[in-house]
Amino acid sequence: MTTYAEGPQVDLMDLAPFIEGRENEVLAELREHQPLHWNDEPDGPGFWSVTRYDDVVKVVSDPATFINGEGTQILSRKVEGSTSTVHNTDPPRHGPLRKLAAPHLRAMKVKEWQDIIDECVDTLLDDLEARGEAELVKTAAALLPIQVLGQVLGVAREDCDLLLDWTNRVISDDPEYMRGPDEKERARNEMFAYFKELTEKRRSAPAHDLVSKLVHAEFQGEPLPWEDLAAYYFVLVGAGNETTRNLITGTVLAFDEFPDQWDKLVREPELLGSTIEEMLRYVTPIRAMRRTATADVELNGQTIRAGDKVVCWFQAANRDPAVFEDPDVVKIDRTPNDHVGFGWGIHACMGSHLARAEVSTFFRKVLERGIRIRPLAEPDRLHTNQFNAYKRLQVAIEKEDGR
Amino acid sequence: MKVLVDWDLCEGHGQCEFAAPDVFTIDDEGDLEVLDETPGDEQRAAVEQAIRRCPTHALSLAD
Ligand code: HEM
Ligand code: HEM
Ligand code: SF4
Repeated sequence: MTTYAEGPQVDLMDLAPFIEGRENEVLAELREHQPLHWNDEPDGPGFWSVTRYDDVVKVVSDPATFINGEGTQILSRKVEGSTSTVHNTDPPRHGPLRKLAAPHLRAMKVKEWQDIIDECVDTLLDDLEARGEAELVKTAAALLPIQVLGQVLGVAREDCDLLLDWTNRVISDDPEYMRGPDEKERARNEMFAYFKELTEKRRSAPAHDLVSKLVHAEFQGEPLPWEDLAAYYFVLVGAGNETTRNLITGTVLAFDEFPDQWDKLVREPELLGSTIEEMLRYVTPIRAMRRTATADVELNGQTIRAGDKVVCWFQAANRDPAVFEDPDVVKIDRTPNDHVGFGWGIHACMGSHLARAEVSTFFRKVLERGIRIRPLAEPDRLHTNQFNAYKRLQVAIEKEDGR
Repeated sequence: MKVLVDWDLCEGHGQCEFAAPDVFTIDDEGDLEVLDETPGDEQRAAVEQAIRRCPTHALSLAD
């Protein structure tokens, strides 16, 4: 392993820069001076980090050499137990498993959910406007994705609160959501039981929802066993929930940082589509995903050994000046914009159309109502290096003059 | 501009639909359907992005 003489020692397991919002400086240091960076881990084998756009795309485009099956979190663990989700699966199982749900989440299908999205957004914005001042994550950003995803899956609207509570408890390592030490396990079990019942209901009487599609799907000639169904529900809920809420919160913060871009969007609302793409680039809700090498590979003059963990920093790639002009600036009309905010390659986001529909509907309606959501304080960030995630953001909802 | 698909390579990942939804779509079985085999020039940037995004390199262009 080569160590670089130049530049400061960077330790990506040090969460301070991520919590304080200084992580882009650290990632830029790696991208410029240590494009393949080795990081020791106190309780693990250590990992490589890839930060240049071309290298990130290269790694995620080679699923034979860089696999997901050994886990996709930076830390060495798989979270879903005995089976594996579509995300933690490699070819040849991956493609057919992905095909079970992907067609139902494609752009044309997502249009069928637009009424539900409109309704959810209207309710949330009515509430925000009535409050005038609110904590954005709890009152809106966290609610929209789970309400929409819940209904896409087949969870009744009135049960979406349950779903939110379970995911807060399962997903969060944060003591503040935890009512006791076995809380995570309990929440997971409650959610399992709920989905088991829903599965049986849809098995006997299919409805127009994703649970019905998965229950009645065939995978290599057989219906999916319960463990695989549960893994599928969990990955959709896991992947669709935190990510989308953080894009909403991150977008509000980015417009506060670049108010001229908000004014531009107000004048040119037809830029909403490219605005959302730019926010996916600038915010990058999933900062990084991990692969594991299956063979020795040369990269940037160093050797990655078979079995090594390789972390792909989408956030660093999304600010690579070799690809994006003025990468640290928000330009809502940026074109082309081949960001990797949804990843790239065979594991690229399956819910991208749904996420886009949710977030663009939210901001379209903010524009139509002539309001502006303005942060009142610094956000509280989740203590993690892998996700760009906000726990809290206090905001004011202001009626804009002359609109 | 003519869009060519190598059907032996295509795995229906739908990255092409993501880039150029007016040209590519994925049907209910999860298979690719080309909506417009000879798109106009205004689709060029989108189609080029679709070609880059396809993880199996199944797409190409003939002029
Ligand atoms: C703004 C919101 C979202 C962002 C930024 C996002 C980002 C990503 C990224 C970067 C990946 C690639 C992971 C990798 O390469 O290892 C991914 C995969 C995935 N996403 Fe999303 N996502 C979002 C919303 C959603 C939604 C709403 C759903 C569900 C409906 C979803 C479902 C998935 C699934 C199932 C995968 C795994 C696909 C596979 O491994 O084949 N995502 N997402
Ligand atoms: C901003 C984005 C995200 C955040 C903050 C987040 C956070 C977390 C955390 C903290 C856990 C708990 C791990 C544990 O049990 O110790 C978790 C679980 C999980 N996440 Fe994520 N995640 C995000 C995105 C994703 C994506 C993109 C996927 C899949 C493509 C995903 C799939 C899962 C799954 C399947 C579980 C396991 C649920 C269970 O069975 O316990 N998550 N997530
Ligand atoms: S992205 Fe490539 S593999 Fe996927 S559907 Fe399009 S052509 Fe086929």
